[in-house]
Amino acid sequence: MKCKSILEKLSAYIEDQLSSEEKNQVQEHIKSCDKCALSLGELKKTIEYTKGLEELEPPPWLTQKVMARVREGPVQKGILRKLFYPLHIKVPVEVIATLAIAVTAFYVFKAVQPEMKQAHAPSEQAAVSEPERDKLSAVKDKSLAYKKDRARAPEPAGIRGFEKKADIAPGKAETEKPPAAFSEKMAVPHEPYRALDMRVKKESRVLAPEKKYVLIEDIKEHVVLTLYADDTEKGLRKTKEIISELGGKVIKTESLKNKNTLFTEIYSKKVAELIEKLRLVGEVKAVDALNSLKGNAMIRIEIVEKSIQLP
Amino acid sequence: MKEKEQLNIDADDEAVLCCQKGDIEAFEQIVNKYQKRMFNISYRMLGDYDEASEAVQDAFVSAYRGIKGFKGKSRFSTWLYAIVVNVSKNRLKQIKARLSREQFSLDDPVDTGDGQIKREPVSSGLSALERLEKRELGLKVQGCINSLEGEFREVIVLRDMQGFSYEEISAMLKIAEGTVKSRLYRARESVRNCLKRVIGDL
Repeated sequence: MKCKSILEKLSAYIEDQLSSEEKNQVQEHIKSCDKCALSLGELKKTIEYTKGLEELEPPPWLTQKVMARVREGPVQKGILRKLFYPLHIKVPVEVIATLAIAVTAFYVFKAVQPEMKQAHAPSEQAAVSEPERDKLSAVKDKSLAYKKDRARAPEPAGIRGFEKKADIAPGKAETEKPPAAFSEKMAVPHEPYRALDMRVKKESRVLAPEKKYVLIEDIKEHVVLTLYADDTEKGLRKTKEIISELGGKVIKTESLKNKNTLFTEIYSKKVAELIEKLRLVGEVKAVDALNSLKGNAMIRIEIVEKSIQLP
Repeated sequence: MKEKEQLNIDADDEAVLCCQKGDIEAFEQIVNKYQKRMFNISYRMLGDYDEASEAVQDAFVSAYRGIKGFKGKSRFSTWLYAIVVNVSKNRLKQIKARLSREQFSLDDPVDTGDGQIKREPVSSGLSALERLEKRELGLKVQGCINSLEGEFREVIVLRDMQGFSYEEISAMLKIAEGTVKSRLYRARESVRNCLKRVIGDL
């Protein structure tokens, strides 16, 4: 117990930092305690060794380096660190970044918005029109209105089938507007189309019905011809012959009960000739704007039984 | 050393005033004058030559930037040494954190930058063997100091190696003199026990 308190004082004893009373205590104790005397000797040696450590020369370039750094001044932080390290600078950067993102997002949205509308709308309308169509098709001689979008058609040269009932007034069939059957624009504004007094039959569930309303810009490139033939099958055959004569290409044909529909791509200069030749087969009803055709024209030829046309 | 410093107090004041007015050349004088002592304080605290070189640079640079805040409450040298002690202590923490995975052992060979010691002009009158022994001993002592925590290192460096008074150390470290004494006692005891293990009989 005594030794411990003595040991604690040894360090100060060596440096003569003790009061004379403490100093005497230590001296008295050491005379009788070999252990503490040994400790004192060791401690003295330890301090001696520590004091004896040599001084080292600093590197010769030290002053130069220090002065270089001092002359650089404190404003030598990297730009990135300056931007991101101190909070008072970081916050404005964040605010500007957020605003930039928001503004960009707004303009991107604005630019895409019209297309988004067109892309979304048909799916909604298709869902509505599906049961509606079924219901309406069951009711004869009733107006049918539905909407559709070209983008949903499985093929660019969409398929369309009409079945005209014999009891449908033929005159009214003529009121049908040509569809924009081959529009290359994916997003075409959809318009309700009224197929008056006509029953539209969807040939297949997979095939989306054609759009029946035609925009002015669509007519420029696409033409619908209606050929009234005595026999639709014969009419179709002859039409194919004529087209191949003129160097045209038959893309697709559809055969229905009273009507055959044929899609063809033909050089626009040949369209007039095509119509002329078709007139030999039967009465041809052409939709306007033939003159403005350019390059290859997409043409739909509907071959309808003559009896339907005439009352 | 101490006497020389006291003689230079006035010169320091003048240089410090110039520095406070933005005279960089005056600061160069200060660096030249104090770099050796600053470096040795740092070196003994860190036990690594390169680390000490970096720490001393940092200390001088921050001293220059903070020199306007020196109001002359203590001696300029004390103020300057306090900076290097602080910088070295912080650097020590960083080094320890870096090496925390590698457990430090007293049995490990101690890197004390002994390559640098060779440069030292050795006091004449010692035989080659004595010189070698002295160097060996120095490495062992430094190794034992390296095993101390920072707060014990600084007192033993400042007191036993640099010979600052208790009062000066108290001012530098901003701790009471009694704390300096008790830390010094514990630091010396640790080094004594360490040396006994490393050297054998003292």
